[in-house]
Amino acid sequence: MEKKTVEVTITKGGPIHAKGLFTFKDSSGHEETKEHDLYLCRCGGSSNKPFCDDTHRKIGIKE
Amino acid sequence: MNMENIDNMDNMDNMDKKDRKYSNGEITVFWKPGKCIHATTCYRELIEVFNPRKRPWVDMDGAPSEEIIRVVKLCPTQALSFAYNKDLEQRNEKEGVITTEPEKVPEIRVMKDGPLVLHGEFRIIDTEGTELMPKKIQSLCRCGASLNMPFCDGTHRKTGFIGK
Repeated sequence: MEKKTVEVTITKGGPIHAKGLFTFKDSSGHEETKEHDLYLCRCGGSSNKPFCDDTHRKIGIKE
Repeated sequence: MNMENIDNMDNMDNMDKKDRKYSNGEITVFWKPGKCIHATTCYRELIEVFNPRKRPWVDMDGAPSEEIIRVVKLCPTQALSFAYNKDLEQRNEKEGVITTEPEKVPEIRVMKDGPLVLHGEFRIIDTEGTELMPKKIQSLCRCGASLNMPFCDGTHRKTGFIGK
């Protein structure tokens, strides 16, 4: 398999965007290795953690 | 390498049969039960990592390296000590021991009520578009309250962040 770097972007005022082939392990221990394209909450307010649900737009997020 | 690490490597050299070591890929924690006076500091500070009721009693995935190092340094008897794996590897190279880690698929782990922990090779781009220095392990805040954004600084404990 061709090796590609996984890119993790901290978006300004928004979530963490993680894109590429990596293993994603959630807090219950479930893990999946594949091509992911995930938006992960970093404002602490999402109702769909660990994923972003756009709550940061309501509550704001510091840099 | 600083003096503290050199001391720790001496500890490693004098490993007794009952002694144990635990690693998360970035740091290795050494435990010498013969020195332990059960001051309970480690598990009162960080039960997620140091849990005497569990086997093995040290879970290196329970917290970021910085947090583990902080608590290891609090051990009053140095029953707990640590060294950075890169320093251990350098020393092994000097002594002709080959320790190459197999290439692993990078991993993002969601810590319950805590940060995202990134293991392995990632390109991390910050909010200014700048690529961060690569590290073997990186912990990113997801409670929204870190004073050192985008990194975890342990504030989630104070704020009582709950997040699956």
